[in-house]
Amino acid sequence: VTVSSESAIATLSDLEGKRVAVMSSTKPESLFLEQADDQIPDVKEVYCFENMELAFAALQAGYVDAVAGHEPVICQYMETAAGEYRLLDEELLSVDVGIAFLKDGDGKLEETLEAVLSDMEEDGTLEFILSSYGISMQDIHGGDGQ
Amino acid sequence: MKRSRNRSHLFSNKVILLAALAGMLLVGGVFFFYTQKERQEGTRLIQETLEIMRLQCLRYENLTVQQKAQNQVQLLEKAKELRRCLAQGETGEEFLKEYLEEQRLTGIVLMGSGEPDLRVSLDEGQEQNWTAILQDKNVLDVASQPKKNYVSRIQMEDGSLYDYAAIARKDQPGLILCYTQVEQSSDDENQIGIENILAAFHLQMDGIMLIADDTWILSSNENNLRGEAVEAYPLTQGYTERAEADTLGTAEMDGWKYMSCYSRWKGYTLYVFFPARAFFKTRSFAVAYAVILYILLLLGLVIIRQREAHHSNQMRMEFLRRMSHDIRTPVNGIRGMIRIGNRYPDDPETQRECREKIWEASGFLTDLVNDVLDMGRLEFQEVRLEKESFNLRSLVNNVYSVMEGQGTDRSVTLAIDRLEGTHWNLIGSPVHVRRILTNLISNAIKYNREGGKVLISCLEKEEAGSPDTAVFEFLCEDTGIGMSRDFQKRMFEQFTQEEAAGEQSHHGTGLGLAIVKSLVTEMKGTIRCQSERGQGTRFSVLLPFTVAPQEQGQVQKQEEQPPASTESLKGVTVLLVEDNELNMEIAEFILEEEGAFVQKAWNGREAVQIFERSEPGEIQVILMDIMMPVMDGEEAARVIRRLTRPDSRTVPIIAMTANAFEEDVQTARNAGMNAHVPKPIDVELLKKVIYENLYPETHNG
Repeated sequence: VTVSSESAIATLSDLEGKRVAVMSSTKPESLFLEQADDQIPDVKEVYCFENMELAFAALQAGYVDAVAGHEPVICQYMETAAGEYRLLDEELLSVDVGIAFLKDGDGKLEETLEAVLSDMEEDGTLEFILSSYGISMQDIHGGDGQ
Repeated sequence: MKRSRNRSHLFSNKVILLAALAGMLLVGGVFFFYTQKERQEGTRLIQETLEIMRLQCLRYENLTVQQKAQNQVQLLEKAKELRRCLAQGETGEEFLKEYLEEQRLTGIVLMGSGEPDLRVSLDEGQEQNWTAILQDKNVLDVASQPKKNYVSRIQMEDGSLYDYAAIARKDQPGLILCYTQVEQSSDDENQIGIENILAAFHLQMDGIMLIADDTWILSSNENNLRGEAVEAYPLTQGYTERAEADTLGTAEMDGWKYMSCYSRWKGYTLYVFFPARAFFKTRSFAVAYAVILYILLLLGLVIIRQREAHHSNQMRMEFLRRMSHDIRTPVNGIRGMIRIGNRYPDDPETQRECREKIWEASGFLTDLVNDVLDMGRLEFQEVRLEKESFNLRSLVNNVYSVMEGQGTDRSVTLAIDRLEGTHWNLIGSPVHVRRILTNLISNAIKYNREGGKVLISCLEKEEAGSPDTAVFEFLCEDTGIGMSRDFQKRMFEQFTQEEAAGEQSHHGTGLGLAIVKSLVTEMKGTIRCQSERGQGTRFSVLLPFTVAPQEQGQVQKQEEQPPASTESLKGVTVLLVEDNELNMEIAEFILEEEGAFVQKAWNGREAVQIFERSEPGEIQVILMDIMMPVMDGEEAARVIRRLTRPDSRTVPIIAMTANAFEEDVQTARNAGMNAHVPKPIDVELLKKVIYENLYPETHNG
């Protein structure tokens, strides 16, 4: 979750009763709407935009108090979008990324992907790609799985 | 002379080649350096320009996004306002129509539970589309999510754009969908926006910036390019296909070359073009400067060379003029004196005077020829330094005694000032040392005044590097006419002779000092000169020698032998071999005058025959001319040495020839001859050499 750098919001709980912009059909949208977790604050309104650009534009114009989204994506926008922003220390949710295959597939695709991924890790391609999103190798190895 | 000219011509060709090469290297270097430099600078400029364009695009994008966000949030607010009205009991199609008009909406859809949708809209025929949108999960979700404010944009099949907002109803379960058509004209406004973002820029060097999408040029700092097709503009035509993004490339338009680069940014392609001639402007200037500078330098060199050549030509002309004069004068004297002698055949006094003058004039001619030959040899570096042992003290004394007479003739006192040293027995080239001393002393006498003085000294220096080496300094000081500063600069050049006004009486070739300088250099020595016009001149020559391992008496004795005039050839039988009648007569006369018996042979073969027929020991010495018909002197000497006679190997054979070169002396030696006497014959020298070879035991002690 990111807010304007001059905003008084410092923690997730400060979002109580505030307006939050999200991109439609993303995880943050459902998190705020469904409030399945005690940690998720009871926000006043959730603005669902087509894309993060619009969400940031709304934040900049002051239509909303915060923007919620996937961290790498947010980080990227924070760099390029106009205005000064600040990322909240707390996270809404920490997730692992998975890849799904057809249930009745022959598994070859899986093997190929596995091989390519390990190749990419060995020759540093993976690290290079990740670093361009501000993620280090430790970050991904710190989780339960790779 | 011809050879030397050829060589200098060759040298100048080489210089031209070198100069051309250096010039090409220089200009090429400057070109390369500036190409690199300006390429770097240009690349930086292009990158900066692209960065500015990216920033402009970003600003423009942000602006449009903000505008869109503002519109969409406003649409949401209108939907919320409607929700409030509904919650307050407003209802019915009439109210919706009124609200629609008030809020400038394009359409409203109300969905409630258990009742049909209520729709009002300004545009007909889009119902199908909106029904489809109402099926969308994102929209339907809104009904169950009171906090959710959903907003989006859709493009219909006919190309029209709509923003739509969906929120949950509060008066009853259901949702409110408001939509508004996005005016295409507002897009046009945006288009104008992107068009304007580069308009204010004026690039240095008339650079061109372009922002284009796949088909159209959207924006440029050149107004007239806006709206043109990418493929219709020469610079952009096919450019992205043949060049890589973000690298420096080239493009052409109207025959002009442009340095260029393009970059992709989101959906846009950003182009930058700089005219190459402006791009490499400094390079062109630098190259032009280098070329001009180089040409000036070359011109300077050529002028200097021309002057030098002119100078050297002048010197040559001067030399020829002088030689012609110097030869003509004594020849004229000789012929004139003979004529006078002929006129007064019976006047012994006149006869004597004539002969004396003829003698003097021919002596000068001999000197002249010697000098010219020596200089020629030095010029072609054909001087061979010898490694003979000799006694320097004796050599200096000897030179002194020879030169003293010359001084007396001109009323100049020649004196040895100091002879200081320990290593007098040395190994070196005495002939050349003698030449150096003779030339210096001869000059000091020649360019002196009546009653003047010349002092010579020879001092051993203590700073010799090793015990095997001795360094001697020769000093020659005179109270003569001195040399002007200007002349001192050129004094070692050939054919130079200072001619002060009214002093034409100095006979010289202008080669003396040039020979000295060359010899001293050849012997790895140094020469210095102090001179004051009207005061005199002081020459100092430093020469290194190898110290002789043992004192060799023979050499010393040779130099210290009694004066030649006491020697006599009385009763000595001489075989004189000479093909020239006049020379034969002269030599015969000289020898007979000295009391010798002369047998004459007119060529080498005759000489061999006469010698063969003679009794062993009858012929005591052979004087052999070298260049002769039938058999030359060298061959004759070889044949005689091979004869089986007791005296065939011992009889002294002395070469007597006008071939006065060093190598002629050497070939004579190789042919088995004992000594060499140059022509014209110096009687004293001839007598001395014959005497030495006749009685070697007297000299070996």
